[in-house]
Amino acid sequence: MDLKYGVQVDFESFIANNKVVDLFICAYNHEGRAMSFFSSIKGSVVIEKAIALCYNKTPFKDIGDNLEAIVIENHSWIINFLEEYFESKRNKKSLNIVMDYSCMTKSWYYTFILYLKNKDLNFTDINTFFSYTPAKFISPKEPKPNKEIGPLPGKYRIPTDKPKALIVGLGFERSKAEGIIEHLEPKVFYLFYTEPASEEKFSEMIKKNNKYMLEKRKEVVFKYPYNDLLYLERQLTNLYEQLKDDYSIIIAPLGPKPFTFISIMLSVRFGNIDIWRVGSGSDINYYEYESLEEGNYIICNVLFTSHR
Amino acid sequence: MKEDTIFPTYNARHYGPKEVAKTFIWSESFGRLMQNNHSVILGARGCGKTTLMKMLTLPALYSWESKLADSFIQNIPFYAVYISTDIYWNVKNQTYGEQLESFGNWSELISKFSVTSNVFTSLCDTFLNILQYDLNDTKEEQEHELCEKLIQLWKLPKTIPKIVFVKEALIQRIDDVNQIIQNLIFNPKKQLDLPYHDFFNLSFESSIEVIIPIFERIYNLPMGEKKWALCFDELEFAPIWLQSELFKSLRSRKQYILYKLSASPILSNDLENSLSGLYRATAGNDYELIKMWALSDNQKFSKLIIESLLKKKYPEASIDNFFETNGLYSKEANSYESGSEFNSEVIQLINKDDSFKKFLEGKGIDLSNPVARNVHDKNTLFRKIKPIVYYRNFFLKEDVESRRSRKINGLLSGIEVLSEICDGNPRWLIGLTTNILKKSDEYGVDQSIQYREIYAVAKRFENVIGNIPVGDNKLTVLDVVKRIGEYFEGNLLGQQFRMDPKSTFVVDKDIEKIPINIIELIEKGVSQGAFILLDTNDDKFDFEVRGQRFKLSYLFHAIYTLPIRKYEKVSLSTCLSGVDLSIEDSRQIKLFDT
Repeated sequence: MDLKYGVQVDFESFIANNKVVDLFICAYNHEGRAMSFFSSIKGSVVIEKAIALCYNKTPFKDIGDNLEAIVIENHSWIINFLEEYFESKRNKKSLNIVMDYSCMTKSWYYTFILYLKNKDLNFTDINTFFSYTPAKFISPKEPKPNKEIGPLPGKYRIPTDKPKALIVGLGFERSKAEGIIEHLEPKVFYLFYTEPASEEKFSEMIKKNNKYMLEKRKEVVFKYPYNDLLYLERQLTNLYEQLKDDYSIIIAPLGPKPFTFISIMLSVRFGNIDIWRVGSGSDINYYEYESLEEGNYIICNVLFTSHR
Repeated sequence: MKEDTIFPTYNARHYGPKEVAKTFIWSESFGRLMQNNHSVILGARGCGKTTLMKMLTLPALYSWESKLADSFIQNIPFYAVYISTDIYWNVKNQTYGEQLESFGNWSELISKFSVTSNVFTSLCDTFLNILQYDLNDTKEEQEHELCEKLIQLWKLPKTIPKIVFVKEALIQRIDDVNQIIQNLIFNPKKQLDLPYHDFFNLSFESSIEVIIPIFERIYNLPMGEKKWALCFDELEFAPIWLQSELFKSLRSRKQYILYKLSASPILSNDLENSLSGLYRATAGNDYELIKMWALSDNQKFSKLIIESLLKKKYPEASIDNFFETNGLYSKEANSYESGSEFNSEVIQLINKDDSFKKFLEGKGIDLSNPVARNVHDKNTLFRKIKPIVYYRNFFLKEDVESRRSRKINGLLSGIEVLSEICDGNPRWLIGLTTNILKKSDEYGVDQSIQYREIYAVAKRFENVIGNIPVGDNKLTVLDVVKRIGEYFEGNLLGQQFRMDPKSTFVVDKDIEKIPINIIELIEKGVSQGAFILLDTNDDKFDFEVRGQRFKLSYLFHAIYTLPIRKYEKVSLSTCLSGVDLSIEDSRQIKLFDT
């Protein structure tokens, strides 16, 4: 399908304009915020089908609320689920889908978005809402060893002889950014981080744990407010326009998920952007994130339309 | 030159040949690479392979400001086609390859298509370079004729017959294929319905064999006067089928085509199988094998790099005076005499290290006048123990005041240390020297600044090694380095004075002692320069780390307080004793697993 547009919407207008949701997808894990958005909308919106994607070690039996739990082993399981779901809805022309990616691993929502973009589907349009629940600050843990540095699966690119430009969305864990920069050896790189963040401590910690790079390379540092998707999208798009003729562009989103989401959307819009991750395998740091405050969600409405 | 790195290092990959030439320094390895034969150049990341390969091209040679340049331009026996493989190639084998697995040999087709396309675009660059630098009075009709042929042979759509447009058409075709694949991943088809194009069948080897004679005919180049060298850089990133084909090609295909290949020190085991057999190529006969880490002129080369950077900033400065010599490594004849700095270190150590006292007594040395009695003493005893004495004397406990009065700077500074500490790796050496020079004035640079910068670079190198992705391993490469470094440190500074402490290790052959996952970490470390292969055979490739002897990068010696010296070997399993070497659960075979 074609990516028609994206627009950030606030929670109230989302509730006001969406009485029925055909499919709600979130990820369920140990985080306190996992069900926050679902709980906030379930009383106001009719949800036809609600799915909680679970990590294989997550105890998911007690989710409740008519949420169907599906254990996901890898990204291809997302494709299998979507194939079945869309097949069951083939008589419909339009669908309204909500994805809460707050607790999702990158490859799941990347696969979902790539699928919508690349799959030959018969719907006239699919109206999607991507929601993120900002969290209260938790101190970062010691970074786990890098198990894998590589592209998120789902996209295939044959390399050309263009040098690489790397855009890194900084996270608050130490040394992850340096890891991918050293590994990829890009000709140029750029660093993005949130300021203001949902809580000031996030920005402080990002600056502390990436101090050397941020101080040494001030000219390649970009700041963006944590809840302004348009601002971030414009910054990244401008940078893309400057780089695209001379570089092969890679974005490594290590930081907050809205940065990852916008990066993914840009990689869908511009075929020559690739998304890479620095993975710790199954041995990840667990953070018990709680919602910052009820009703505080970062929601993006993205419309996919048929290209037939 | 501007380059984006977190730390100031030098990476030739990011520079065009002209820029590479600006800082190029001739070395023995370049002379060997320029010879009229196939070559394989092996070395760790940052050792200068890419610089050497790029320097073979015409824009680099013409931009090189050296007295040697003219002669090289006149005499280079081939046109170099520089082909860069990068980390993406390796990724193709992993993440991307999986996505195309279900399409059978189609994925192999795509892999070959991508390699072939990149070779073709590189050949276009070479043609353009020849026209610009080497040929006068070329006519537009000649380029038209060449391009018509290229378009026909490479099965390109109708394109303006100029080389730049042919190259553009190749890149456009890559993009088209990318889109086909992207669509296919999410809309899989049956094997028979897979999109197929004639150009998928093109092979760069046979295609180039056809095109080069055509180019030579069109531009009236004397046939066979110059060969053509396909320079594949950083082959460790290439798919194994390509590595295999290229290494087999060292037995030579066409007389007018040479192969210049660069790769990591340890070649893949998969490659070993394909290179075995009666008719395999052999070093010396079929190709020149250049092992960058084992070159005899590495220290001299490092000094030349330091000197060239120094002269750029202070043209009048002398390298020895500017950085000063280090008494610990000084080879001056009088440095062992009574009253010398070393003699004073020996006396101090005698006073606080009983094991050292006993050691000297055992050797018959007079403790009241501990100097060499003859040349034999000097060469076989004092010269050997000199760095150990300095290190033990500094680090062994003594009264705090006395220790404060001496500085660690003396152990890690001076031209002898600077020219060795990076193991001949220009990338780190250029960064280190540049940083030191930034903090210097025309009269020289203080020992403390040299020490601080060496230590800072060592910590940055440590960070790079710490970030190497390790797959399913529980340990990281840095964990292994740390255990080895601490073992060596303990051996040098432990209770017992040893004339031959351990500072190198041999990887156990026994899989029970060192499992395969640790071998993978060692291989990754070798590729990144954390471990340096020793005692290597100049005539053979190395496929195995088991049974081989290594040392730590000297940059790690700065962290683990070890002298810049190679000492005795110990087994890796001894260094790692007490460490859980098992892999993560996810890789263990499970019961009832299907």
